[in-house]
Amino acid sequence: MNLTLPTFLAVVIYVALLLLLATIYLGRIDLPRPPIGVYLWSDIAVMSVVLIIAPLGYLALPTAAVAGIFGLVLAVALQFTLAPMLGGRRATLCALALCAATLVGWLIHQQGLTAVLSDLVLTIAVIGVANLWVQGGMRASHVAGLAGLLSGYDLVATSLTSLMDRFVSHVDGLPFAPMVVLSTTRPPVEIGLGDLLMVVLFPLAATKAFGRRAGQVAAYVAVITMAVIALMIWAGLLPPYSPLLAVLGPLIVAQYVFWRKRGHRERTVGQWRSGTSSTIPPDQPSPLDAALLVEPAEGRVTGAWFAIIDGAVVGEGTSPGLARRSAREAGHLDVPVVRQFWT
Amino acid sequence: MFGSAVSQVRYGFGLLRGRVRPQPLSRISRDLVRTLAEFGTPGEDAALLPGQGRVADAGILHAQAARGLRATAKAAGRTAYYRRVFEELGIKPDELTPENWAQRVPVTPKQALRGMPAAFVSDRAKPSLMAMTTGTTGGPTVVWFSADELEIFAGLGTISSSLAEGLRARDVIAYANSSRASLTLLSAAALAERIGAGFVPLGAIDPALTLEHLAAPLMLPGKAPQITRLLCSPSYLAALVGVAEAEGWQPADFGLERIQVGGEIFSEALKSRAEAVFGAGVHTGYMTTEIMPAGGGYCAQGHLHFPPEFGYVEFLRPDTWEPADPGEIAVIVVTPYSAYRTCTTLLRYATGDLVRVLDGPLTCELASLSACSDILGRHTGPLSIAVPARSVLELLESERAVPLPTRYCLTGDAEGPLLHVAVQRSTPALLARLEDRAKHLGLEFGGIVLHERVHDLPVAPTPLRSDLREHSFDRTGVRP
Repeated sequence: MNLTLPTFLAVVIYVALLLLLATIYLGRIDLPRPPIGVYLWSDIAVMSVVLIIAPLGYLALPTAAVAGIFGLVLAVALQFTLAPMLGGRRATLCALALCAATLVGWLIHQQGLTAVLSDLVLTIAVIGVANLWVQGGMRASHVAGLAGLLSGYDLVATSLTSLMDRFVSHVDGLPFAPMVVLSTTRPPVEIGLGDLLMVVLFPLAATKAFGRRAGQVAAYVAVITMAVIALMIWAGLLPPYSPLLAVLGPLIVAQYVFWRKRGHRERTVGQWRSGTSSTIPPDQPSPLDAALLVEPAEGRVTGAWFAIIDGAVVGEGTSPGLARRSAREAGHLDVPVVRQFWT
Repeated sequence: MFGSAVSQVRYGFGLLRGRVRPQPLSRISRDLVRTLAEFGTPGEDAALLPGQGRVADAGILHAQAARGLRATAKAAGRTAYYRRVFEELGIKPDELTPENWAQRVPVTPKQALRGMPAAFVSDRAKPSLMAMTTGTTGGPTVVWFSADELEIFAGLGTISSSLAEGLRARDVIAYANSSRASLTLLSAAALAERIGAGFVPLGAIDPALTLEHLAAPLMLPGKAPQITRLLCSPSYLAALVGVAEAEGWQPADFGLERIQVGGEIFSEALKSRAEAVFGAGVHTGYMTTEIMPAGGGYCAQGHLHFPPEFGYVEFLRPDTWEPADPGEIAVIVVTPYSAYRTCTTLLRYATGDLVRVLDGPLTCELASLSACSDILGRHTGPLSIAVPARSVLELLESERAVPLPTRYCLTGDAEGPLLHVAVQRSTPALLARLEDRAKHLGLEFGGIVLHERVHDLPVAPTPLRSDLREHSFDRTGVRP
């Protein structure tokens, strides 16, 4: 990154706006999903393998093919992101128009226009994909696992080897290149697609899993992390291409552990949509415990069954069902605990 | 997510190849359970899931039937019975189409299967379970199934129970059928396991004991406080209703949310009495061991519909085996497709179950599926058509003075049949009520005769599934 104060501010503001838009989308738009299927750890493993292998594959492909693949993927992402708002046909037209305009900009060598349009396409796609995954049932634990894995990979690919440098050079200036370009200076100020996706993904997953507060904390952590790294690059403490996920990944894992240790359990999509709290309720005394404490009255250890509510015998019968019925006949409609006494 | 997609593709390819493998279906059913746990509902296009199809296109239905019949006939050629039939009649499976199917392939009577079940088992099959029908209609019929088929039925049952019946992990299912109904028992246990629901195999014990089990508090983690689902036969449900009404049980004593009955005629009269005493909806479908999984379900208008993917269904006149006209009473004849049935293969199997062929275009939500009236009875001769069992049950089960399950028989001929009914106390008032109600229902009897003892009925009444009573030691150790 070739940072100046305006570009530093642009990075921070862009990331903050992206998170805001993604969060609004999460709250207002229900993405369609297939009839069956939830995210499992096997899916996360497949995604990790694809994310790790993909840059190597792209390096082996001609640049036109790389642009074509990304263009196709982004057009699909644009379509499904916009479809709930515009309708299927209009979303398709809009996606094709945006991608076509980006391609035309590149063909007529309008670097600035190409970058702006590519950024717009990528931004919409990141919002859509992150929402698709979270609304599709990807859990915060999955995101944390993915982030933890990718943090190591990012460190290796960006800092310890030349893989990311070569990949960035390979796709530099291409339409639909997987990086948001915030300044076309040399070297440009760019944020990689994978980084952006993880920046957006965890706040959404945390909102779904643990509630709005967890989502807000995750968003602040992402923006501050981005700002600190940008500052360090600006100050020359980090090289221009620095592995954001190497820092953000562990922070995501730490947040996940924090919320779990704080007594939250992950909500399902159904629980999130219905507003169920993620807080694990404190242990309530079980009615079974209370029933075990009940002492039999003199001479009542007969093999009969007793219906007990709140520690009091409210019915009696020769079977559990008859004891329950006896309780109902005595006016107790709640289901009692039934037990026998023994010597 | 990726695994689900792969399983659905594999299932689709299996259908195209004419052989559904159990693994992808199993995976689909388990993924559906996970999906419901995560989202509460399936995603869009749930109608595309196995067994949920609502195919409306006549061309697709025809192609599906042509492919299914040809493949099933080929599979039947690997059984001793059909090998001989094909040789005798010069049938070549490749030449069979839905158009010439009825002319070329003879109906298979129940007696043929009952008389030599092994002759219907494919040479390539790996038989695993000898399922027997309960035999209330003339002795048990044996049907062999492979382990793959049982896996497939469990998968289909899981999908259907989750989607259509709303079965969830919090539910507890009581199975109050005879353990002789082994296929139903195994399927119910398997689907409960997949969904994570509790399963209580009560068996067909004394109805008074079953009522006590249904009322018993359970207090188990993650489960409803009492049994929420009951699976039983209509006659056993009738026995439960009879005892519950006599002993004063109330809906508040139970936690039942749904009762599923099957295997016998189920009258509206019994349904309303059962719903009143248990406070739960009572539902039924149509399925027999022999034709699994090619059963039917009911639409909101009460028609019995058959999904096209599991089998080919015909409605034939019981005397000539010709297609019945609209409005006529017919026997259901089913060819379960070999895509789901690889062990015992049946072509044009005459179930013996009587229905009325529907007249006029259907307007219900399942109008695109093959349909008929609800089951009217079982074909045992002209009298069973003149006075279908359903009509008699509607008459008798609505009268509280007639003990449940009802015991009756018909004598005479179709012109003026006599209805003999076992009652607790024969009174002129009861007789008058029954005669009035019979007239109201359009039933024309030569007369109604009340008997105070079952043994006094001139003909032994049809055995019921609830007669397959099992013993229990529930009362052991209780000192009154």
